Amino acid sequence: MIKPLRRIHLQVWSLLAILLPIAILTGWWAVPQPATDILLQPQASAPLPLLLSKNERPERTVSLRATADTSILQVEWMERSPLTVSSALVYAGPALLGRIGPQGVYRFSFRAAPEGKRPQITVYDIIHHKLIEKINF
Amino acid sequence: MGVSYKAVGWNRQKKHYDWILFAFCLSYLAVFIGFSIGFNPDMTFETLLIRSTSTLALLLLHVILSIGPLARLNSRFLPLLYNRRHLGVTMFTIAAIHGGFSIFQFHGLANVNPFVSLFLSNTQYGSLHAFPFQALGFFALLIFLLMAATSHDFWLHVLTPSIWKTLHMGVYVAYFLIILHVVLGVIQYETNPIFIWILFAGTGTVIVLHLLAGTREVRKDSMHFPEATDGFVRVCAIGEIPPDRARVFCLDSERIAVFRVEDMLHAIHNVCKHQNGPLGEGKVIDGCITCPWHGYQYLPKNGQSPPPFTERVSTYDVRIIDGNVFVNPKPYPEGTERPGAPIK
Repeated sequence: MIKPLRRIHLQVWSLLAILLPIAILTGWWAVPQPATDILLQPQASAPLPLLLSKNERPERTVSLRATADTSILQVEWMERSPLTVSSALVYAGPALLGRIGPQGVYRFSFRAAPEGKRPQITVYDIIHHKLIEKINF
Repeated sequence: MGVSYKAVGWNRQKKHYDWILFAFCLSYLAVFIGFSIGFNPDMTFETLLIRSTSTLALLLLHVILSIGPLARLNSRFLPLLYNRRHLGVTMFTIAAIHGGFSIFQFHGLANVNPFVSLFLSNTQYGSLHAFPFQALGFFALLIFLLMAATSHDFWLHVLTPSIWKTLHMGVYVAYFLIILHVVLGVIQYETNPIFIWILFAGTGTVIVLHLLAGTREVRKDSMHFPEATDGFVRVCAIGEIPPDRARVFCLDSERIAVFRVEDMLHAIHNVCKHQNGPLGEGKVIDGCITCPWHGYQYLPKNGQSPPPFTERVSTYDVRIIDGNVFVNPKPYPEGTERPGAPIK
């Protein structure tokens, strides 16, 4: 190789030694972060100790739990298959407890009625105005 | 070195080398496709072919770019340099399969010409993540095509070595485009960081090798030799030149190779007329100085290629005084016979 060619080679590789890492790092930086799945439903609270009643279905188990003095009740909703509706709201009588979405465990606590009557649990699709489920413990 | 035109200059060594290269390429493709099917049985044949050929071409490109500096750093790599052109054409062929199948897969069913679709189906040139990276690969492939098409010595003679060499330095532009093609393409979609690290390792290796070899050459060029008498310069002791080999010295910005041939010393210009190969790194075979790159030969006494070849290099006067070797850096016209210096 002649001297000018040797010099050009060294100059080209000195330039590439700067440009190539910049190109790779810039490309790496441009990689979009993967979308994270954020649950709209808050983490299920801990189950209450007393199991009062249980409603078993192939796709879900719904239990009514309570504190030891039964002053606080808890609906425990264990969904084994994804719901096919996007807006399923859970009610204890007329009171809204919360929303259930994908498969998982949902627990909704509420104060028991003074006369000790167990509430009717309903699941309602507010978009399609359709009753999905009605459970009497 | 050949008298008549031959499409492919195969000798026994080159055939042996090409068979190894062919076996390696087939094995690589088989292993890559086998693993890909194992991890993802639903992958289509086109996707398998596109991915396996792309990684193989990229690997071969890194090997090709590493051979030059490796050969300058260690003469044991010179046989690879001798066969580099076959490797380059093989790499182009594999890259062309990758490009061809990609255009067929992604643009073949478009309602416009696939090449128009290549440039117009994605026009997000302002975005890094969604950049139309296929266009970068296309231009790199065009450069490789030009290089592969002109790789034969016929084109070297037609274009002259300086133009030919300038044209073939386009590989550096193509390499940069290929790295961008990978970074803005597969790296954006395959989020496993292992791909980035592999790319870093590959480019890092090539860059370090070239910078090491380049700075070593600069050191060689900047060696200083004090002038003695009559324009002669002391370069070394006679015992420093091994039989049938040379030592190279940079005098007046030109590299001169001082060869020891039997009981004589001869000095010639270090640059081969074929592709500017370093004659001083070659050896004397059948009485001729033989270029380590492609085997071009020159007679030590006059710097002429033996008949019927017509290549000529400059010759220089050389003397031996008290066991020291002196060279006059003033060149004689190419092919001028000089007596050399007898070793007593």
